[in-house]
Amino acid sequence: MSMLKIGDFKANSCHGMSRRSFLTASATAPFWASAASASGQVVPPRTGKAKSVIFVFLWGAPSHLDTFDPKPDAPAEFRGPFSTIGTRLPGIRFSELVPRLAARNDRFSLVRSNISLDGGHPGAGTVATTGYRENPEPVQPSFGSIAARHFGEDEFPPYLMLGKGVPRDVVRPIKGYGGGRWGKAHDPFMIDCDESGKVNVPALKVLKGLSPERLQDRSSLTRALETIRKSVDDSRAEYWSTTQQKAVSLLTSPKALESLDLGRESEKTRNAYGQTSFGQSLLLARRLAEKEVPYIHVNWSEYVEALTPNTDFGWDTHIHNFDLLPNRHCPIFDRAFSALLDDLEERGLLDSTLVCCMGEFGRTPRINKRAARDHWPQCFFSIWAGAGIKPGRVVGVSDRTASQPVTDPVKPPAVGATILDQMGINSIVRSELDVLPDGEVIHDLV
Amino acid sequence: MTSFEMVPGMEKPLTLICSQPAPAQATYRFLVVCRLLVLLPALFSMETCEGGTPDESSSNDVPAKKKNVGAEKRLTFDGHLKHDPVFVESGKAIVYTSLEKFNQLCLMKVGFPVNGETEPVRFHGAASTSELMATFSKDDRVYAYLRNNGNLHFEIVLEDRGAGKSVSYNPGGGFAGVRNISYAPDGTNVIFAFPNQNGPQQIQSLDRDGKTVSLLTDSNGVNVCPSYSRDGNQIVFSSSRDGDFDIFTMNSDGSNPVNVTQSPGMDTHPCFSPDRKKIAFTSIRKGNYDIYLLEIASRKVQRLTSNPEVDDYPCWSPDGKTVVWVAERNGKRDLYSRKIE
Repeated sequence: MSMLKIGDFKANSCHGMSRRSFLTASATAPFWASAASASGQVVPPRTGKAKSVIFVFLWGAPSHLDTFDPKPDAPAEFRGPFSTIGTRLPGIRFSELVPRLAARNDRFSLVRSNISLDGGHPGAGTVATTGYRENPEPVQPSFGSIAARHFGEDEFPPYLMLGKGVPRDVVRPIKGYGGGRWGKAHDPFMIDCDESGKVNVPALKVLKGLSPERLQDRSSLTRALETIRKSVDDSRAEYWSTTQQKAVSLLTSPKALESLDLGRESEKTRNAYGQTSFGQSLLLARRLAEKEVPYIHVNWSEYVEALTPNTDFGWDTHIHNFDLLPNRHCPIFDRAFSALLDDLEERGLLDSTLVCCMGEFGRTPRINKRAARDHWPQCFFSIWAGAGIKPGRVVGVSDRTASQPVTDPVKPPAVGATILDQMGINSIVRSELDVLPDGEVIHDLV
Repeated sequence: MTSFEMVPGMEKPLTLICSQPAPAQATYRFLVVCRLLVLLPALFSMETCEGGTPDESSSNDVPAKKKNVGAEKRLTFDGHLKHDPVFVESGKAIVYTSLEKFNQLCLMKVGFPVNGETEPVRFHGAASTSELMATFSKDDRVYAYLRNNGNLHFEIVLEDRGAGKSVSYNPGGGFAGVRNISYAPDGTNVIFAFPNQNGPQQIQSLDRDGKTVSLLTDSNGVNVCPSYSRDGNQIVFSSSRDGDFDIFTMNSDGSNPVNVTQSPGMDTHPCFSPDRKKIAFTSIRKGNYDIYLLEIASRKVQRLTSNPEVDDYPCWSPDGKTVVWVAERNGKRDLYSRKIE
């Protein structure tokens, strides 16, 4: 069963000539094998507890009241129709829609007092991924780009984004997904994973006609790349060059190819995550964390819109909040994210992998006129687990309607500072990089 | 809103779990361990009953006979996300909604019973946007479905196959989503869920001309998933008017609403048996999505599935002998059936 789609051809996962050709090609292509070594960059030692970060982005913004911060005693126009259930922690209750995570919350910590600075999706998306507003420009580099710049290239691109594309709404993508003021060279490298676990590397689509056999011929490859490079608009040349270099590096690395091949996982493991694009993407993230890829960003969807033609079912439930959450989103999320925590723990990876999961904001505590919930940047949740994070904690308390934090408001730069600190990118390094100047670590988590 | 004590994965509610101060944690843990030890056999039983016979419901419900249902049978094999199966063609086929592309829900049709030769096919081959929740009159002459025709917007499409006519009902501009439709067996009207102006979501009725709408409920909370009885005289639906989602019945004109389940935990996706003596529905009263059967006269509840994965969207065959539902098995969502005696 072919699981890895690269450009215009597929590599068999376990046997067959395609894969053999691939590996042969990579063994004879040292020129492309390591961008870091090629550039002479010294990769800094991994001094932090977190060798990898898996940032799970619930794009579209899930309702905090209907998931991890229910308010069963709030007036009816706020609390919603779902019951609450006990969890592993005394006195802490979740919505009935996330039972698997309720049974595991002694393994992760929950922040119930996140706040955002923007009430619109693209703007809040940038706030969530960079810690700062899109405007005034320039856009700040994303947390992943900071990690990538610090650690540099290794066998893998250091900042991978798993999903169909850069998070966006029907109008435009977010600006803060990548390098921002540092330029597109620090953008994430995109990888797509579908519900059956087939992995696609979009950047390699331009290498049309390049077979594994042709990759063995360096001069042929160089000519092909040069032809493509000439056809690229000057404004995109830097991005193209960097992305293509990363793509070919991946293509010619046995270690990388192996990690991208979900066919190497047991059926039991793959099933545990569920046959959904999100579930299989989390499994792919775990495989990449095994290889200590510094920053792996997993998108729930490309589009925020929950129910809009040609979009992929984000969490933006202005309508049907009380239908979509129980019938689709929560069961998928509860299963896949629980599987990720279990898998990381069983493999001994949770000590070296930091997992952070959040949306760009919460949803209105007061139920709207469409029997659903709108945007609410004043208060929402995030989930934290793994390297450097003390499990079983609940940080921050929201008020009786989950409208405002009563204690410990967590500002957006604190998310980045906490993540990066656990990676060894401490305040001194961040200062040298001129990023997150006001980012304070969430000390109750670490 | 109700709350119940449940450490998920366990069959019985845990008491004494809520609002314990920190010094009481040791006592709490001791109680949890004791309860776990007591429940271990039940847990083991639950884990091993996949594909087996269902068990009885909670201790408040009268135990059901264990051998009045058959083994579950898988009807589809692609594992795509599915929902809302309904029988058509006098029980010879099933139409359901399936995620056929990562960004498109499609109506699919598969023959019943599955004979090894029937592959699901697109019900509307040319659909270019999401279509979902098909519902049919008793003779299949007219049917309706929801079409995603804009940003956070759904309309009802009413098809008259006999007359070759198609009309649509647009619920209004902006974000507006009709939900949960069910065609009257005689084909005169379709019922659906839609929020009224001040927030609560009501059950409404739309004539087959797609023009005349009337309100069938006027309650607080969220009313969802209306479904006609096969004789057209009754409607069963789920409502949170009393707190969490429970099952209600009412006359087809909206009169005489009766609450028939009062369990903590969501009860939803109800449908009458053809003889209107039972209701199949989904409940997470035991911490997981499972299918239950309610005997209306006695209020006895029988648990039809007890698998640790999701079981949802039950529907009855026209002869009342089979329940088909969407089951998640090994992370894949497919249609399954089970004989009901």
